[in-house]
Amino acid sequence: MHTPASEKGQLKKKTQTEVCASCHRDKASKVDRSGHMPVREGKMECSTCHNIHGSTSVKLLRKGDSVADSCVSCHADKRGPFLWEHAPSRDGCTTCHDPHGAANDRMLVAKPPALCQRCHIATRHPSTIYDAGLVATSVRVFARSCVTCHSTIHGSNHPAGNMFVR
Amino acid sequence: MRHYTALALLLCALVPAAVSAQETSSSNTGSVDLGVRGSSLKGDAARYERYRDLGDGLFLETFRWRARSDGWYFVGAADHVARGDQRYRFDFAKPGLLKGWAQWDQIPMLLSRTTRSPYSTNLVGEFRLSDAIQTQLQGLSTAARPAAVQALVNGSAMFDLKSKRHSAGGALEYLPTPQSSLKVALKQTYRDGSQPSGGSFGHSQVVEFAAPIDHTLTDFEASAEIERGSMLFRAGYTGSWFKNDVTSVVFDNPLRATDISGTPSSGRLGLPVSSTQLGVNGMVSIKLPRKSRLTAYATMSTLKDDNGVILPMTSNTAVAVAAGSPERGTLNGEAQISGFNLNFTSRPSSLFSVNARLKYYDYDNKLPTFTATKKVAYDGNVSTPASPLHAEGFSLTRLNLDADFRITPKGPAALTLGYGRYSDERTHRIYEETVDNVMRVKLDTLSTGVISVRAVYEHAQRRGEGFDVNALIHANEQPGMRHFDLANRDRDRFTVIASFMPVMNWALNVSSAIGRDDYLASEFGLRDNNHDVYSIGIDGTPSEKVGLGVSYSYEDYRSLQRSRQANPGVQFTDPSRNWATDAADKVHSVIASLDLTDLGDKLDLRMSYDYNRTRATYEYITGAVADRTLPQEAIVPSTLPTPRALPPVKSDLTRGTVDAVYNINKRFAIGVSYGYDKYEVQDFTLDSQAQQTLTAGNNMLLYYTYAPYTAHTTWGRIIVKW
Repeated sequence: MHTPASEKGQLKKKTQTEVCASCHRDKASKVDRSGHMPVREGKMECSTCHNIHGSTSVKLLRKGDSVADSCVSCHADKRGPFLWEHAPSRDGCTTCHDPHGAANDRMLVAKPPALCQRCHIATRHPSTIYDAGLVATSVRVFARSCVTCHSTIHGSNHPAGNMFVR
Repeated sequence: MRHYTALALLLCALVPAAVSAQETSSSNTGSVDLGVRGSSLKGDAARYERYRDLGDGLFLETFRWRARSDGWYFVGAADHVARGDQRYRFDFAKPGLLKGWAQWDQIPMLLSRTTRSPYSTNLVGEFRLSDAIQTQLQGLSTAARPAAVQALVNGSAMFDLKSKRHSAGGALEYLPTPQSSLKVALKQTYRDGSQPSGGSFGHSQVVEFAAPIDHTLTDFEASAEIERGSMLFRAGYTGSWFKNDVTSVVFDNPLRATDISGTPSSGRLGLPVSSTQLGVNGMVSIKLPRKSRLTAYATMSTLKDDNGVILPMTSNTAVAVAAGSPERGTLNGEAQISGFNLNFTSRPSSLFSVNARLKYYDYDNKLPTFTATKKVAYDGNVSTPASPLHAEGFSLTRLNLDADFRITPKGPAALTLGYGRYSDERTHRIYEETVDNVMRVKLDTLSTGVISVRAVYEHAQRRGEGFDVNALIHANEQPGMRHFDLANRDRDRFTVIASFMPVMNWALNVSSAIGRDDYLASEFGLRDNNHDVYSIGIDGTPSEKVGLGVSYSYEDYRSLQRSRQANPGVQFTDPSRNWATDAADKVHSVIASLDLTDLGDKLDLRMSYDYNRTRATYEYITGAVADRTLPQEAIVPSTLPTPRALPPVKSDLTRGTVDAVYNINKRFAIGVSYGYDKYEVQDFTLDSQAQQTLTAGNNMLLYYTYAPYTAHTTWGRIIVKW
């Protein structure tokens, strides 16, 4: 670029996000959701996680060799080892979280309890229709929903932590 | 006051530097952007600031300095000086010999300024209520307790729920010869503060508290790279040390002053333990004849906890002896992580190219089996499970093979045919192995100057092998449920990005992404997951002084999840208790900008506007779902009550900025900026109105909410350049 618009990287637009949004418009839109990483505040940019020139990992990720590796390179408290592990968090964080942003708390791909009920249809306590009649009265749905009790959802080192309530 | 003092010192330091730079060297350039800021805010201040410090008063937004001397280049930068989100960076380079950087960065995370809690936290990790409060609440009748608990919360002082990352790092790259380089990088991030967490004393009583965050992550990387003829070698070392200073939390039970069997006076929660991950990696890349290259990469690392302690069976002193001790006292967790990549790229002729990749990844969890013959759920009763609980770490092996064959005829387009086989083996999950076979077709127009199109269609079939129904039965799950991250799935995805440039300096961009995931064998669980995304935008630079862009996008995400509301016994197999959640997220967003520079050779005017409107709906459906019922599902009339519809979740964000800078001369400019930020939210569980209507009962919540805000922020700025 003879006349770059960016401060660094010789980009033709002012920020990385604007350049990447030329093609990845849906990802740029997610940055404007209520649950987001500090991209629009200028503390992170696309290249914080991705190396657009190439990578040994998946999704052009900079760190590690998997999506989970990349996430725990900053969120190391989630990497374990754990005595009891929540299987999808070992497999890939994006099963539950959208790292680009979401309108749900904690960048979850759906609002709990709907998210949790995608996989958990157990008896005791049974998978329940948490409709408008229950929202205000059931501790299993109001406020932070399932994770109010299952607060160690990524993993636990408590001997009674197999259900992630300790 | 601290901000002002620091700013004043920096200003004093900057002015002579600027003058000196003018007098002595024209190779030194830089700028400083400072002034006064004020905000008018109505609503949730925490959500407005979130990762920023936008406090009123003096600010030093940016400081930039660039210099060149004897072939050395230096760049210094400071952002948001003396604020909670400050960042300082220094880069230097002597091309061909050495380059490096150092950075100090702070990232705040302000979650709430209106959270409340009656817990005292004199000791880190302990959330205590006075014995008098516990005794008083314990003595109340069951009917009187909820009001007393809520009065206790309402009488508590508000506090900020927040955390902050403090990150220091740097890197060096030394080139002893033009064909070799040595790199080292070190980064340490300390995070302190708190985040909302919950603790439970059973199905009907929970408490929330601001769980402490006090951990440090140190990362070190070193690598050496050398080029010899057609070969490139690289070897590297990585070390990552995570140290957590708070590995458990104790929280008092507001309704119980002394421990008894069944009801503890406090509960204890485990938090992550410290860990270390050390690894090595290596890479060889060989340039081959006919514009080909073969690259092999291997990595191996070990993750271990640092003598992590398995917590005692319970904090309840009344049952601690009966509960005994855990099978072992330390975690002894370890995982061997290894990976191998083989990439081959070749373009033997102008008509044909190939890109093939083999990727192997293995996470071998060596956690020794942990068996619990007794359990103290919720720190209440000692129970003996029907069969002992076994903790066995999850292991995972991935083998991905992927190849693209690209044909570039002497015409305006290139065609790529691709195939991928992604095989995943896992332990302790419902499938031993899943295999995803992916076929794709890509069409790219080559540069015509007027139009460019990239279209990709992908069809994938994932199938599981070695289904273990016992993994579901042991968890009391429906045998027909499939975890959607493993379930058999047919996936179709189509994306197209087109850019039209009918006239010079103008571009019309259109894109679409359509995806369909069909979990075709999941009687329960996620049945389908679809999305449609469309966007259109115009970018133009009609003159050197004018640049503009506007784009609109619409996103539509839909999913259907099937379930059964059933207690053990006859309900478990009763199809009349089936239900579904039909979920949808619909998002409209607009991004627009207009830059007018050098107006009258003096004025730069920049405007931007972002709008994001999200509506999420969760519609409950009892009984079967037309068109989306699997053959194995018996269709019977529902015996469940008719659900009451949930209100939609609304989240609207509008942001606009106007930034005017008047250049008095080449060295000085003054400016004024205005920012408008508005967030509107409706969330049936998390917004402030919803939480006011909670029948919280005996539950002691933080009242962490999603609340709207409207903010007007104005900056008055002076910009000095040299």
